[in-house]
Amino acid sequence: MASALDKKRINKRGIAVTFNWIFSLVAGVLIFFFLVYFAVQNTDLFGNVTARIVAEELDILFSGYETIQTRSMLDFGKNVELDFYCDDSTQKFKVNGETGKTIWDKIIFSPDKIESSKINVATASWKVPFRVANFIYIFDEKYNIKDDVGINIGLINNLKGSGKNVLISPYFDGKCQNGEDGKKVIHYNKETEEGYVCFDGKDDKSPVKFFGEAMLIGAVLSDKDNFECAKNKAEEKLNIMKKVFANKNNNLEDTGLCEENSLYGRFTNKMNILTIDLMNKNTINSFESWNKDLIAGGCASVY
Amino acid sequence: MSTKTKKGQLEIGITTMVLAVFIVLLLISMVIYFRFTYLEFEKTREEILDQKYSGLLNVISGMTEFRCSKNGAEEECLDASKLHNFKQTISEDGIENYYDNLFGNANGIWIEVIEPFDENKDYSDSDYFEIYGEKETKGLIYSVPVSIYYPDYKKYKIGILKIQGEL
Repeated sequence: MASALDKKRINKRGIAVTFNWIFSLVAGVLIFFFLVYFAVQNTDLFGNVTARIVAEELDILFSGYETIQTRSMLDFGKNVELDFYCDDSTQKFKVNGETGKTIWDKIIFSPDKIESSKINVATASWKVPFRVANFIYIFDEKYNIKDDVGINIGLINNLKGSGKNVLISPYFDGKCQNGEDGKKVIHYNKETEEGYVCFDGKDDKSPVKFFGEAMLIGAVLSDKDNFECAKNKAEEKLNIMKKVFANKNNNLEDTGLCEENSLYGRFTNKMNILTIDLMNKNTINSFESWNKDLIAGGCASVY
Repeated sequence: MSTKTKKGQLEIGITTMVLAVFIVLLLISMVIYFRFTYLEFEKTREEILDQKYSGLLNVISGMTEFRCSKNGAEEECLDASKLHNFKQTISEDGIENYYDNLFGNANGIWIEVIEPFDENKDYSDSDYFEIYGEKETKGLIYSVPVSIYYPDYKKYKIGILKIQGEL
């Protein structure tokens, strides 16, 4: 039979064992709640997820800008770093250095790097003379624009201020002239809307040709790689529009309702040889004139 | 066996049990944590796709590929002569990729025409225009009414632009 002393010892041991269980449960529950709290607070590990979400949402936002003419300011509330770059002829952007988001369908003109809490976004239609696309411009700073051509485009006037030097000079025959070495010179003909950009100044041996006011705005604020990338995208979209209009012309010809049916064929043929480098005011005038002839003849216009 | 050895064995047993309980709780926590994270990702993905499809309805209505115009001035309508055979036009290599990227996860995009013409024997007789993918496959359908313009008949019809996509 156990003595009273032995019974006391057994009770003490029993309490010790129960205490260990209570301790492990309390510790476990605490760790459990800590992990749940950690899960709630830190699902965004190292900002990677936020950067990806911001990139996706910016992409959706840019999609909305694609079809409208607008000027607005995105206020992020804190400093955001956007890197626009060209990878294998495809435009991409990074948010805060994380995850590259490919811009498949939009044509964006911007400097290589934007670092600001407030980012300006604007759009303009590129017409040749039918609308090919809306260009999206993203910028966060002003430019010291010296305009020897007398450009009067609202967005370019808004870009004027103190910042990087840009000289807009009269159009010469494909050679970079004027300005300072290493500083951007844009040669532009206001009448024909033809131009080319000399990103490395007057000694640039490979100027980039462009056409239209919408591309001129892009030339002011873009760095070379982004400009060439955006120009390639514009060329790609132009090729798509050629096919869209060729299809439309075929459909209109098939109805046989138009007496000036041959104009649709002429339109298609001229469009087929159209490229940005070959674009000039004469081609644009031809399209405009044929379109008017179609309307005057009681036919459906091409654009 | 001595009392000290029995006590030692008991303490090792207790420690092992404490460790076992701790590891079980840790594993449960890890499973809950990763499940929570996964659900959060799924929710964000669905929200983004929902926004994307809703936004796509507006984007398509404004795309120069479909929008109607008269003498260079665009109007709030879609051009039937551009819509007809559009899918075949973009089926070429390169161009198709462009729209794959633009329309993303959408399974099908089409426009149904309410009361189409039925005697002209041309593009105007179509009761629907396929834009992308397949009509009526699977997924939620997002739709919006649109005005369709037939340029050579100078008439408008009502249509419904539909996008089908999975969240």
